[in-house]
Amino acid sequence: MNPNKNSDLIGYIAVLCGLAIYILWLLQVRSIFAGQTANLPVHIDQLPTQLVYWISIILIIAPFTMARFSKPVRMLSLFTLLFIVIFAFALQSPFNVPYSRDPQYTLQASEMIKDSGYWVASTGTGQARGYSDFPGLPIYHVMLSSLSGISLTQAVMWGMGIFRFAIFPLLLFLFFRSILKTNELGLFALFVYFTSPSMTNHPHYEGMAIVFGIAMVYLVFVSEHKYHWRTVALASVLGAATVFTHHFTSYVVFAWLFALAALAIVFVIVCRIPRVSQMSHAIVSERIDWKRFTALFLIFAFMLAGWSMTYGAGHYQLYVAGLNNGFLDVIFPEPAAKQVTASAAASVPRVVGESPLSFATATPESPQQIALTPPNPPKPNVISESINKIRTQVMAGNFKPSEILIVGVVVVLALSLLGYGFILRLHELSFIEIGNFIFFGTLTLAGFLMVVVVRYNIISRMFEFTYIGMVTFLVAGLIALRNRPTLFRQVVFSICAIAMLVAGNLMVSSGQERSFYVADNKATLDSSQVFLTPSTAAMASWSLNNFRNKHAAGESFIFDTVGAYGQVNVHIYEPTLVRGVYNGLTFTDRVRQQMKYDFIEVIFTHKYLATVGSQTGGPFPAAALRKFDEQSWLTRAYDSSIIQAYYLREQI
Amino acid sequence: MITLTTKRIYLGIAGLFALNAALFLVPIVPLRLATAIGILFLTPGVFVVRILYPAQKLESLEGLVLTMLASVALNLLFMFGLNVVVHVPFNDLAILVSLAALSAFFALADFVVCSNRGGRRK
Repeated sequence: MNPNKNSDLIGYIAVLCGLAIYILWLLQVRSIFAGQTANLPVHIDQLPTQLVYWISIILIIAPFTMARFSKPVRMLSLFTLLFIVIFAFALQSPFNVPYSRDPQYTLQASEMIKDSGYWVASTGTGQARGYSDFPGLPIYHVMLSSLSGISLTQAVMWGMGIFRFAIFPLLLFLFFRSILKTNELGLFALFVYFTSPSMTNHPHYEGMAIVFGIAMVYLVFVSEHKYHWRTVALASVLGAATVFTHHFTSYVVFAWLFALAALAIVFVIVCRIPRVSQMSHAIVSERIDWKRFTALFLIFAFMLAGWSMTYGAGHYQLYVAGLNNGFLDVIFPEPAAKQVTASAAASVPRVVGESPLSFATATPESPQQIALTPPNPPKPNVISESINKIRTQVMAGNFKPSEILIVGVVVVLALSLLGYGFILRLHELSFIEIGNFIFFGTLTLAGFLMVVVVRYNIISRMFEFTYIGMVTFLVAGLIALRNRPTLFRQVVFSICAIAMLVAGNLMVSSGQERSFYVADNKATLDSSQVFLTPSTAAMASWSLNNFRNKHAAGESFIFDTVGAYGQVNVHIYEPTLVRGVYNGLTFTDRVRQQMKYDFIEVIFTHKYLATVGSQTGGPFPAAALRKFDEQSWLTRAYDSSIIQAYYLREQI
Repeated sequence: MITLTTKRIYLGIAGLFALNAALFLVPIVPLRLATAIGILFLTPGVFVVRILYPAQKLESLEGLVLTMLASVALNLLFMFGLNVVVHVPFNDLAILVSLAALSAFFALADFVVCSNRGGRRK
């Protein structure tokens, strides 16, 4: 047998073995969850070791990283991995329903369109109210469900995967191949992009809009057809799809286009300096068709402004307010507002009686503490504050020490490859490559700084954008590791590539295998698929028929299940109410008054309240959770082994 | 003049819609899902790309990507526009008929452009 065919056979066997192991692992995990619905969360020791999953992934992707295998083997290897990564959301849903907040409320937004037959902005409950202002993804789900005959739930489960698997890899390949000039480097760029720590593929609006957005930039800046009006026409259609699919993506794409245009002007000016002109000749010699670009930019800007001032006004105002109040005020604090004087402290009344109920707002400092505070507190160090916050989040997250170590090592490796790759590509830089690097590099830094503002905590999501500016340099650095075909270099190269994939996958915040393996002390009810049992789904259906659009008291778990599937207004964003309902041994007048004020008609409780916490608090004392059956004004309207609903019989 | 390739494309797209409609009556879910994906991802983008970019100037892979992108984007925007402007509801039949009409419009445009280009199109 031909030696090449022999080695190819090994490659095929590796991929197929990896796939078989993955399937066995998946079936085993899903069957364990199916058998444990009454006893959740499933403990780690009941599940097969995570090593099985990683062995399967390594077997699948290893042939792609090895130059000795032929193209078909390497393509099979890469696309098997892409399939597993992109369809992870649907494949790894333990109870076969859409899970986590975005998909659950996306389902609601889609259901409202399908049930009524019409799209109406700002309808629905919870997150769906905001989501319904951007109807691209829900309409896609409705169309897929209607044309295919599958249920809307299944359309939400699989729709995003189908969309992204069909288009995204090919688009990324075209995008990066145009910059890096060869198919081989284009494929590696595709692989590196999929090592991103933000590679979430669950049904989320950004996941669809980013495809349209990247395609638009590809058409006007990268494609060979960028100098034609027809390209402007097609890019405008994609721009419209971006705008009506997702707010944040639209703003990023707008800023991206603006930054590229501004950089082009800067480069033209800078290249007049003789020494610089030699270095940047390749960059500046790239012609930008200003007439067509300006036309597209104006069209996109008008579409974005139009949508932001009408249907998307709510989100636009939220971003502007958030940016002003949080980000800019942290960087440029107003001295007068920040100073607390000792004389003012003396006039603060002493806090007596019960402690404040709100746990979202900062606990007021005591007069003694305020008196000790220096009159001119030092300016907060935004960078150290950001780093501390990231560190705190990582430590509090569902990571094992070994996983933190792997991620840490790979961050250092990736930064080294990025720097080395940048040096290697310095003389081949194209305008789009350096433009992307500057824009997304700035965005990455800004993202880290924004961590100090909780609403702008985009670390886990921003790499889906910002990797675009880094991929070409990472590829250059990575490929340089095996520029001489020795076994040692090949091994180092494969280990580095696989390590990047593993670390990126470890960081992905939902849909990955790690979410199954949760230590008891780190389990939370927030957007967790491991609690979405068929009983919970039944409760949500019952709520849909009985409490649709009514107001309810509940916490994170109720918000994500009954709120999303049952279309009930769960008052999760009122921490005083949540804590008052679940934490006290009895209902205080203040809590009852707030329920009356909020038109609360039902209170939901569930068995996990006493054992598992969430962003809204908890675990709550078991004694406090027994009070619901003792109230004369509450009737247990729904009862199951997991969830109970108490109907408020009288106006309290 | 319409070439064999063009005829095949027209027939293929018409077949997709016809098969999807037939599967309303005989629900074979995997087959209907395949036709649904075909409709959503290939039409009317295949005609739009042919109109905008003469075949010999577009690499096949790029053509496929642009076809899928244009199809999904136009289908979404068209159904959204119909729903908001002329109140066509989102139901099974309305969606199928509307998308078929959209594809027919672009097929006709492609036919006209194709005829004008004459022998230049392969």
